[in-house]
Amino acid sequence: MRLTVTSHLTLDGVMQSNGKPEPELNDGFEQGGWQVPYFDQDVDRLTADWIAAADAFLLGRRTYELFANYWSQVTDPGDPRAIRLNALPKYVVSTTLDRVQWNNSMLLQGDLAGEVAKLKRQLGGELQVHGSAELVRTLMKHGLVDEYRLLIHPVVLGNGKRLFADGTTPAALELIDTKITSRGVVAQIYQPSGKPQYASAAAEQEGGVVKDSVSRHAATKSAGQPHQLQHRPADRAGFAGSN
Amino acid sequence: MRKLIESTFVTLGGDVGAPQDWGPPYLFGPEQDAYSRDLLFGADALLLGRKTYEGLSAAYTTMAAGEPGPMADFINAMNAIPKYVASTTLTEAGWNATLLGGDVARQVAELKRRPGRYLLKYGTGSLDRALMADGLIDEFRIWLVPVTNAPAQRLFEHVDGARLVLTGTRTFSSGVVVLTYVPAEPAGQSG
Repeated sequence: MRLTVTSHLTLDGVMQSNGKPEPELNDGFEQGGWQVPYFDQDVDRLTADWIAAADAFLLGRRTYELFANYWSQVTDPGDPRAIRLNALPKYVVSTTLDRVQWNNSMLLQGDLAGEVAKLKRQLGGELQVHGSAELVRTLMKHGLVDEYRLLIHPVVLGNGKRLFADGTTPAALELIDTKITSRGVVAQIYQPSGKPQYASAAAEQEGGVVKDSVSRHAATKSAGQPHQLQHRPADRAGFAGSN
Repeated sequence: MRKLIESTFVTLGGDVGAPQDWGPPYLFGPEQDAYSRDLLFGADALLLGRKTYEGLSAAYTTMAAGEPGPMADFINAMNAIPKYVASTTLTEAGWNATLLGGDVARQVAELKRRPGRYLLKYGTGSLDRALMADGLIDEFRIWLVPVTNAPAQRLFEHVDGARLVLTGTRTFSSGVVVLTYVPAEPAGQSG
């Protein structure tokens, strides 16, 4: 299976309680539901299309509970999201639950990375992770993510749980596609592209122009600024980003 | 009335603190150079925090003394352009810079009232809190770099919150997407 991660993010990377306030979690987060003003037909269609492509779901405990409570109540046969979420297999990662009751859901126990790798080997189609930030970071650590679908919303919250929180395994990604919704949500599709290259490696690759790179990197360091002092070879082929 | 535009590099993980590490494979290239030139050459002056000022002035003074390369025009413009530097500690500045002490937001508001094109602020940090509280930043160019590195210093870490409006995107073949935002609430109301 191909493992895809879908995440709704603020511009400062927060992923918590995007759809509604969740005071029952008692986590002190008071800005739940921040996504709602931006949820338009474009976002609706994008996310519905993504879910329509799912063959199974892999969920962290919190996202599982949220989804199970909500989607098990949606019985409209015309809602393609509800049909798939209710019917398809759901693998749930939890250290606290001892059973799961939502239709066709099952706990993944034991060696998480090993179990997920086994699912990916044994089954076909698309295994989708939604939300589940902690789970995503574990999957990243073991190189199990095949695609990221990030919906970046035009809002800064200043606090809240982040998808790529401290301790995230540094990863380089390849931009596959960008879509913009009518309310300014940027949907970015990325696929893993190994580890990040760092300055020293980049300087080596640039061969004859290493001489300049010390000062250029100094300039970059000082401000995060666009001060490119030389060109580098053509970028990787196969880029499919839109603009 | 001049606008204030802020341009910043950030990873998907939200780091603005170490672009010298993760930035080079993505931020250097003909497309990015052209974009950077347009942004700088359209500005009347730079607005810099103290740390940014110290780093850039040292680096660009050094680069100007080297052999001219393909970005010589950019380096010359960086050295020549007037700068305003916010600092509570510096007592004098070189590099064609004027110090802003005391109430920086009020002084920036005054600078914006002067005629011209726009002020360009490189980098993001503690200065943003006061500027954004007074609605003084009119536009953000967020260079989103496709690595997940978590923050040494977080984008908008000094800011409580803000609603923005996406007004443009520019995708470079390296996978960087420059997101252009303006505040949802109009700026400049404090002046």
